[in-house]
Amino acid sequence: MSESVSKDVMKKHNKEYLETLYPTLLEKKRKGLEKLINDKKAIVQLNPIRQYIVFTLLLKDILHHKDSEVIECLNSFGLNKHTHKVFKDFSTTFKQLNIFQDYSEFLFPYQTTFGFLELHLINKLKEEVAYDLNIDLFKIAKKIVEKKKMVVYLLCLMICFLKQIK
Amino acid sequence: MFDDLFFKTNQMIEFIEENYPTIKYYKNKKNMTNAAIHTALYSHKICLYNLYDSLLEFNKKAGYLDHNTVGDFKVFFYDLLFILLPDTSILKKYDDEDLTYGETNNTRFKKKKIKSLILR
Repeated sequence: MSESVSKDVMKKHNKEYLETLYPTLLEKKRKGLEKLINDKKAIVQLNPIRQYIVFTLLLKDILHHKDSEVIECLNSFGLNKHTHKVFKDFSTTFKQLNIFQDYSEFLFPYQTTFGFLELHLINKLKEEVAYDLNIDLFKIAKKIVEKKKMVVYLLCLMICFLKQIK
Repeated sequence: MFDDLFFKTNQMIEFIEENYPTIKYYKNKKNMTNAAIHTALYSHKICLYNLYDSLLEFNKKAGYLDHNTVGDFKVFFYDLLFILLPDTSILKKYDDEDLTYGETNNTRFKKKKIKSLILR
């Protein structure tokens, strides 16, 4: 297979992938925003840690959009300092990628690229939402580890005590 | 509860090790909470490394890459990340990199940045 043919094949695959991706992204955005707006009252009443869990689950559907609707929704929940950094409008990104693809020396399938990028952005979202809600993730991890140790310690004590009774 | 959770995570680790041996991830069978939080805070070291590695392998198989062009691939990957990432502050120059990394548009800077950010 010559180099030019292979690049053409890659371009064709990428174009097909984009055609399937756009409608799914729009659908996800619609559903995600709907959930956030409908359940807003309930979400606001939750404590920060529960809010953190809800946001990390729901916001990943609207990660790839940064229009006025999304920004308004984020601001209404008070996520306006750090979280908005993770959001980017992907219609402009894919335009830039198409141009980049034309002059780059190497191949990059959009499906692989987009998949790993999405994983990275979801992790980044977890970090930034924690900053916005003033949650210290390391402190929580430390507490969980301590609790686990405590449970094991208590179980050991119980076993010793039961052995003594026997 | 904890035993059940750790049994499931150990099963997951074994599944990944068997089926995806090249995938990089933080693993700590004794302390999964720290591993999970490490992944959330330093995800570029995991997710973007996996992206770099998979694209490198793909280009090698397609015949676009050999040992002489790995440096060029790093420059290509830097440019790709600059387009993809919403927050490009991690790709910019820090104060202590002035002497060793050169100017931001240089290929030297791009190669060094990718090496320090993802591959180290």
